[in-house]
Amino acid sequence: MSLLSIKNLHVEVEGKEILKGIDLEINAHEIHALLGPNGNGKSTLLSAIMGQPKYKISQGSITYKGKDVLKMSVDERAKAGLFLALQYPPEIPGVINSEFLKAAINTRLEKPVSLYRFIKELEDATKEVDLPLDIVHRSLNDGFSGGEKKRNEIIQMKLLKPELAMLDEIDSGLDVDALKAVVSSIQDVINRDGSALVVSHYARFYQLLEPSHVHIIIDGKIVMNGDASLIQRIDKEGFDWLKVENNIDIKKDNRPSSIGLCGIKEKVNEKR
Amino acid sequence: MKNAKITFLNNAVTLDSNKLFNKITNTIEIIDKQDLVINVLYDNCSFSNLSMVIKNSKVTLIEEYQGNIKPLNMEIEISNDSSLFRFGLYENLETELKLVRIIKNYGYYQNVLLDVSKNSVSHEEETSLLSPLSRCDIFSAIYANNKAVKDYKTKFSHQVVHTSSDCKIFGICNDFAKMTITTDAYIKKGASNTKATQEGRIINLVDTASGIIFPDLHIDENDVEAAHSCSVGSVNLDHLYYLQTRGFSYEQAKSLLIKSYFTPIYQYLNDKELIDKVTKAIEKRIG
Ligand SMILES: Nc1ncnc2c1ncn2[C@@H]1O[C@H](COP(=O)(O)OP(=O)(O)OP(=O)(O)O)[C@@H](O)[C@H]1O
Ligand SMILES: [Mg+2]
Repeated sequence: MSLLSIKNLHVEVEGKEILKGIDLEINAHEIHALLGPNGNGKSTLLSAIMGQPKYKISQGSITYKGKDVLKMSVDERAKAGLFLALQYPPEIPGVINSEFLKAAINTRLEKPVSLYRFIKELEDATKEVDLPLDIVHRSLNDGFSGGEKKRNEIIQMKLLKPELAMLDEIDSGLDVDALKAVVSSIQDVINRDGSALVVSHYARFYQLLEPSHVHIIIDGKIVMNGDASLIQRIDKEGFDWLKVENNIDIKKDNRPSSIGLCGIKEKVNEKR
Repeated sequence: MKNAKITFLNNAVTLDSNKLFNKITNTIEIIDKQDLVINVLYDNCSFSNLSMVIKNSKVTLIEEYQGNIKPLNMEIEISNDSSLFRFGLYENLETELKLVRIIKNYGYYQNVLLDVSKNSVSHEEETSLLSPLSRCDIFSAIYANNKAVKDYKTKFSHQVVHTSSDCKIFGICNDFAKMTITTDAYIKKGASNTKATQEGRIINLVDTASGIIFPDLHIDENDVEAAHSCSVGSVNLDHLYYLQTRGFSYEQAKSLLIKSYFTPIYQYLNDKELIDKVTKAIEKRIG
């Protein structure tokens, strides 16, 4: 039985249909990569799976381990093992990072986590993503740099130990060492018989991650499925060949396509 | 630090550890005391008028209320280079409080208050800055839920040159509660080089809660620095969603956010005992 099964999913936001019939099956031990030009529905798909209330499901189904996800509240989905590292994690002043993390762990436990164990895991996680420990005493994401926010998402993933890790452009703004830490935390999920669904524009990240399945999403539909070789091609040629060879209409975004840039370059640009 | 305790029970003073209360004038008298901490407890208090005079002293005043409190006027005069840090903890208060503060001769008054009472409170504080270099800072954090009605009026009267006031009020309104926050700063003609700032923010957690703010500056003098800002908003849905994606139920996420709105109060507190008290009071009410 597949872990996550999506059938004919249609999603609307503010009355506009964004996803127009998505089918996707994810099994244990698989890493799925989702690629597509800007604004074509990648984040929408991940948010719809997690249950962001802004996105209305107008048709289709999502099941997770045989259970109807669409009937579950966001927190029920989280406690069932779904995790989404957001493309833009919000800043929440006044919610202290470490207290938030401890309470989040406890939402999954009958008996609260022991302080000793929590501190140990927290120390290990911050060390692995190379964040100074004092970041856990600050307000959640408040004033964090782009890269720090992304690393903090990984800390959360490490501590919450999901079964299905969904990561939305986790690599943007991260340096190579941090990317390696991300890959190893995804590997941890896989080793626990879980799976991952990852959105990124960067071939460099995918080289490290080695996804088992690749999907291209254009205008709210998955227009092609394949393996990691698809990424190499998109990295070299962009998405235009899909139109020439497969007659797939590509809606042009006015933003530049960012495929091919590596994470380090973006980080340098961010600092300017 | 020297500690003093005063308890007003019904219509009498039942505890006055440092003999500060003058029963004839109903006045707490503090003269030439440096670093004095006074804990005042109003227990089923039926006094209607009380006062305090502070001269040549540096005082921390912690006021707590329990039981049935009759409407109370409390007037404090701060003069001769004195400073007062007043902390008011309203855990179960249900009454009308009228606070009058008169600040003279380099006096400094700071009032930090936390109102987490589930009952209705009517609160009026009027501060008169009567001598040059008189200063006053106010920070209030107010929570109202159920059907509580909270009415907070804060007034500053700048009578002379070189006086300053700063007023920050944060309100959180839940359920069917009603909250009205009014701040008025009056700057008299001739009170030049005066500074008056006001900041007010209310968050209505649900549609049925109604909190409103009326900030006002009444300025009769040109050479002043005055500003006010206020906002009424609702809970940030992206924040709620983010917390829910980490496993918090809607109610848990909401109380985490409510507590987060209170955190600015901690920057005004440095006494460990007081910090614990505030944390406990917030935990007890919000969970
Ligand atoms: N809350 C919203 N209100 C209006 N439109 C929205 C909203 N959220 C998403 N959209 C629209 O839905 C479309 C898909 O957005 P989505 O964020 O899923 O794209 P994406 O593929 O993740 O793009 P990117 O690579 O830039 O992150 C876009 O046209 C976007 O403007
Ligand atoms: Mg996106």
